[in-house]
Amino acid sequence: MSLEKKLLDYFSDRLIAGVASFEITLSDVVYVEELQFLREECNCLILKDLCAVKSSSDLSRPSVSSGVPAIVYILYSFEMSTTISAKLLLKDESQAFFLKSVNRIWPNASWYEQEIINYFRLESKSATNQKISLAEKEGEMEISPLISKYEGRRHKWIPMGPNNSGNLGNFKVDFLLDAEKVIDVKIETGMAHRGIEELCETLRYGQIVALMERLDCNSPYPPAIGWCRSVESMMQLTIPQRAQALRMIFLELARVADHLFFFSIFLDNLAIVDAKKFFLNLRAQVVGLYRSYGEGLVLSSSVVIGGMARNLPTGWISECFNMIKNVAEGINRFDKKIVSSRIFRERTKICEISGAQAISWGYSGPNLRASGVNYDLRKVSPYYFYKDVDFEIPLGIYGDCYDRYLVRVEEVRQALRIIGQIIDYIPTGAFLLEDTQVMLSDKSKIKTSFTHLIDFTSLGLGGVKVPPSEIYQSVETSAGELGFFIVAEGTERPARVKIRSASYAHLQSYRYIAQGFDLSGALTILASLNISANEMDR
Amino acid sequence: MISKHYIRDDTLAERFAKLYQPNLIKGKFLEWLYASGLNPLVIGESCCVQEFSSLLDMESLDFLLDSGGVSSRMELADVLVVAGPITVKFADRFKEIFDSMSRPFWVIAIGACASSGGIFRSEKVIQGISAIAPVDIYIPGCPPTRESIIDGFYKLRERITKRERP
Repeated sequence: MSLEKKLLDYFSDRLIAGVASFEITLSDVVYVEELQFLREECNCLILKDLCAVKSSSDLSRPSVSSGVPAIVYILYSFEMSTTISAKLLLKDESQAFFLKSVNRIWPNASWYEQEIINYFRLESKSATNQKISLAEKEGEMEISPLISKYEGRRHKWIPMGPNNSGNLGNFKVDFLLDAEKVIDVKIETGMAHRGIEELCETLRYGQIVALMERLDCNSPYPPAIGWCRSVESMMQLTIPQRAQALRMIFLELARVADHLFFFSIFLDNLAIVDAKKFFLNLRAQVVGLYRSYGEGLVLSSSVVIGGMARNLPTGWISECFNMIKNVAEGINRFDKKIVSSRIFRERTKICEISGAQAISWGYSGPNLRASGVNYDLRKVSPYYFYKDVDFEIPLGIYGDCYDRYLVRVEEVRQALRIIGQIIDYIPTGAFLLEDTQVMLSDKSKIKTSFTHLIDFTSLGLGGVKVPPSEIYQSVETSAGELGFFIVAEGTERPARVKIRSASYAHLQSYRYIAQGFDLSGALTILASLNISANEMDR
Repeated sequence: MISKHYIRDDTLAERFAKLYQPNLIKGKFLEWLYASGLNPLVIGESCCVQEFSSLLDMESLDFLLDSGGVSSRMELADVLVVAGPITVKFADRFKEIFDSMSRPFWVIAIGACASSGGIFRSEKVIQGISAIAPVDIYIPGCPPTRESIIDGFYKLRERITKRERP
């Protein structure tokens, strides 16, 4: 029985089938049971994200929920490799407060549900109700009941953060120690929350690119490319082949740079002192490529809706080949030494996460693949030229810190292989779309053609307009899956933007996987998850 | 809690000045001492920090800074380098760090976010850290170029030697 037929039988007229996705409107009474059905019968093992949409004054909003507030569960089914977005329409925003939790079905739902309450700003309205609903959700973000039980004996809290000297980012982790052993962890996030999603609603689609570059400052390109790709597919644009190839190059360069940064932090955490400087120097070569492409800047707003703003400068490709050679040599030399070290193996062969556990926590990216789950967006739903290039997906076996390190080492090698292949066959031609509705036309043409003049002025005054629709689309970055849920109302500004960041799901599981290890082991596990606070808090 | 056993003492440096540099004017010697071996403490994690730490990796600031590089202890630092946006939730912690720095110390705001909120025009970000802490040097740019960061440190050195204290 195919997935579509199963869904059609159960949901009948509430199902809308798309190209590679399904939209379901959930019933507002038995939605938990319906989600349970999706989990068990339709194999929707991953809860990717939970997005809330506020009510709109514009009642003619056609696609999403015709003006009423809604909550969208974004699920992924392994059966047909499809994304299912299940929609729950609310009568009132305060109804979100009494939302039944689905953390029995997907354990990673608790933080997302907490986020929804924060999004609707329900705390101030009814303080008493909040306590009740938090108690129902087993107090994920609250202080755990263990404190009162153990306080005053040999157990004590060791605080860490939030200012971690630039290594892990601004978040706070407190460990409850029983002698040497970690028995509980308290996590506090939000120190780097800049309100990017809310800011997006006040800016134009083109302006948001600059904001997305600052989402994760270690790797500016993947969020910007992901954003532009989502907007382009909403507008049904196909960018030129050269722009696609350039974007692929920068996605892979970002993977190399981020993993090199990860090695420097991870090995520094294990007190391998030389590694930090070595890998940061290697990473500086990749960042040098960003700089020479972006006219001296790292955050250069090179990605625009409709292609790339700049062509490759002369000499860039030879510089890139130089980098590939240096990084490949450096990685091989250092990795050989580290892997043969017995101390390194003993310190990192801890914290095994099984594939089922990783899926239930909503892991993605190298952390998921280290547990042996073969799921990579570049292979599952290939975008740009990923179906044409030849590369392999490295998989781990045990899912411990050692595997997470090894998977990333191999991913750097594969990323270098991809970059080499694209540069060999880089398509010639335009790197920007020649569509006067989207891109500003030449100033020489404005003087002669009236239609060019009209398009130029309307674009300059308002920016691109996106037809009313909603979309969830994601790209594979070094941390994991970076998704964008966008609601457009046909104007030049988005009505709602929700960013799915991988680190948010990874950090959520940390409380449960770190228990039972000593403090240095717990810190190694935290470093091995590669959490970027800026991306997580948005 | 922050331990306060180690607090840099002004009188110690004065005694040192009397002992070893009797011909130097006392005040000037102190300023020279501070200006020639700055020890920065970096707060925030953003693109500006990347630029700043790339300078440290390239050893471009070594002639200005202490040989120890970046300090992670607020008791040992001379310069508070604030790079990137300071969010409302982080502001209390920032004040705590500011209060526990050993005096005298100077503050540099790197980038538009720290100086005025910059691109993040939202209520979640403090619109300029001058609202919660006095700032000596503002370095403009989003993110600033490496040259302007070096220039900012030169300006700070001038300011210290001219005894323009906050």
